[in-house]
Amino acid sequence: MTDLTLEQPPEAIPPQPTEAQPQAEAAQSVAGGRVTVKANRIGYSGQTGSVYKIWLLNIFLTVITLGIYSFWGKTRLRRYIMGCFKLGGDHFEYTGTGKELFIGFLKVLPVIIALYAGAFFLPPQMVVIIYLPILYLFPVAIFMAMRYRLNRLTWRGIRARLTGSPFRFGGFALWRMFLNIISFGILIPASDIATYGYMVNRAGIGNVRAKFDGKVSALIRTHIVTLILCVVGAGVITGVIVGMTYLGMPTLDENDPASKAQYVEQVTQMMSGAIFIGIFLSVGWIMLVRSYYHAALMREKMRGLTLGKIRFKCTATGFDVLKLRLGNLLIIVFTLGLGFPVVIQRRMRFMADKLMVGGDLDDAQMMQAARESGAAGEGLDDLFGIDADLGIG
Amino acid sequence: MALQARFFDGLQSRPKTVTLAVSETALRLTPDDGTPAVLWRFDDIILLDKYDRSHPGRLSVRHTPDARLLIDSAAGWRAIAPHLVSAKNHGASLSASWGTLAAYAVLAALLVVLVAHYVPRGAAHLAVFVPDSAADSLGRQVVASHFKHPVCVEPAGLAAFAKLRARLESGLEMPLAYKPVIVKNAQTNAFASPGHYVVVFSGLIDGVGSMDEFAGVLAHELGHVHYNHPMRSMMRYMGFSFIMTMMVGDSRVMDAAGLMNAMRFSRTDEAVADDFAIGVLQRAGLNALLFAGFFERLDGKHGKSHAMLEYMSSHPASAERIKVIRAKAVPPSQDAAPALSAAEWESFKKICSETMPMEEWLQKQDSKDKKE
Repeated sequence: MTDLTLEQPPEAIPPQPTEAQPQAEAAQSVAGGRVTVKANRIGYSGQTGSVYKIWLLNIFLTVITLGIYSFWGKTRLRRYIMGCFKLGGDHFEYTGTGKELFIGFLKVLPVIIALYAGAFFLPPQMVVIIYLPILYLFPVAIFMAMRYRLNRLTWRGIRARLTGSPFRFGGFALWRMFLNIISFGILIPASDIATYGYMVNRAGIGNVRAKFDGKVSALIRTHIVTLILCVVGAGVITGVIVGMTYLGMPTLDENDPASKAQYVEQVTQMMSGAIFIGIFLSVGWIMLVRSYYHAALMREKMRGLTLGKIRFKCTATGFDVLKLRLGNLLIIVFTLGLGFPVVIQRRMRFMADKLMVGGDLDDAQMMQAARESGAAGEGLDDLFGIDADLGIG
Repeated sequence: MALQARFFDGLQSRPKTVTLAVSETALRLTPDDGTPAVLWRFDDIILLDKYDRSHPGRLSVRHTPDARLLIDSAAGWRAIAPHLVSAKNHGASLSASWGTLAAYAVLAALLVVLVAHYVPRGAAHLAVFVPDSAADSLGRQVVASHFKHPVCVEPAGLAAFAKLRARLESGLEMPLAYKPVIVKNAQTNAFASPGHYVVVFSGLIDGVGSMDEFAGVLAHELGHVHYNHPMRSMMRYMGFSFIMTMMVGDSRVMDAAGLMNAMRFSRTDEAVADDFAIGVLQRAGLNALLFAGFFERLDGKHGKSHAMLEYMSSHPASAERIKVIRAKAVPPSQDAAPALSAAEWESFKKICSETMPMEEWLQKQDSKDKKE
């Protein structure tokens, strides 16, 4: 069993090794604001073949049932994947059902229909007004999805949970989005920390409440550097492509007025094509550069998270995240989507590899808390294609 | 032999080791830490996972659904499994083999083919239920977004166009409300869109060999309007897109094909519109044989075949079609006057020397509609 050196927790509780678990090393040295605790690795035993089987069966049955099976299919995949995660010798368990997801979908169906109807029937210049509710519903959907998934996750017979109103969270997240925009992105780390904290401070497992004490200062440098690299890089990429297109432009025959209209059309087409390619490549560039920020964010999220005496550590570097993302992108593109189960496996293994849980799990005295009511299926996540992960990210 | 298992009581996370005693009707769990034993009746037991070399057998019980009993020895499982035949199986393990999977794949593929064949045809019949106002606003959107070219409005050209249409309309068996518009675009093409819009690209005027060829293409588009083909094909597309979204959960693949494809008519639609065009042309005293001549050029037998390909791409032409038109068409009587004089035809060709933006033209149509 390896040890894990962590920063001194906010409220250092003196370790109390019990005689029942003599193998528990518990906290040993407290020196220089750092504490060494027992490290627990997370195991993931999912088999790519099994994931493929479940995934393919879901697709076929979804087609055969005109989409109705998708809720049960999703549940089957989650059960398998969650059940393959192991901590302290015990597997996690997903207890959600397809029926709950289906009912959750029916509940939000009117909202989905209203949005589609709005997009379809509103005059084109008015369509903008449905963007605001969509922007608001996006974080609402994330919260609903997280609430449902956490409330259906158990470990050692104890249920995890997330309480609170998705709609309040939606308002909070919308406010942070607004701040991000008016600060030209400078406040993104503060917003990321705040929204994550908002959720974590309403989450827990059993009677143990999760706490989050993340520091924005840990992210500032990476954020500013990657932000500048993104802006400059995107500008350079688009500029070079547009410039090269301009140089490769055919010349206009001034003497032939008939060809002028065609020339203008051709030039417009070439230019809009160049700008499109520029934007496409810039998005790729931003995704890769921002991997370093997202890795720093993941590390800070885990560093600041406590669950009673249990602490967490994420060891993912920016390059790790970059490799994961680039690899996943290439797999999806070159297999035309058929490599999706491989992507799932890569993401899950990444999570298991890069996440460590510090503290004596056997000593963590978690008691079952009352069952949350009202945490019906997610519903809205389908609308936005959200696939919120439990844990990091 | 005492069977031991790992146990979570569903109240606290601390793992317990229990000694199991199997009786006829129940399982007795005696914790090693001295806490009282619990009795799990086999009727109440929920089977979560069967024992496997890679993972333990997992059981729960109806009255304490959070409790978990993990059996990680083959011997332990052998002792208990026979009693669990009536237990409710909540297992997440997938029982489907690759063979079953293949069978489902074949079934799914079959269903997709059937649905792709029948649903669009069924949906087309729903076109009659679309109110005129909805069809019109849809048509406006299509015209405004896909034919965003300048509208040709040179007065002398418009007058010639009106005269040509009046001649063509004299061949109609019943009056037909349609909104013709010529837009400045070099492509050799013409479209009928929902809401009875007929959009003619100016490239078509330059591309035809004669006035009667042009009249033939226009009559063909009127045929589409007459039979409501644009709305029917739109419904076909929407029906297809809807069912695919339901089945696959994503219609983006279909959307990529674009709305233009939605307006692509079926072969039958084209044949029906040709038939309509021949009737109209003959009754109006115009030469329907020249209409066939237009398609012959589409096939690349004569002259400007390159420009014609554009028309073909949205209107599949074939030798079959030409044959049908030739068989049905009769040459017009010698004394039939041409639709336009040579001078009028020349001024019609200059219709794009004056243009207005599409938005403005649509607004003008709007106020005209309101007056009527």
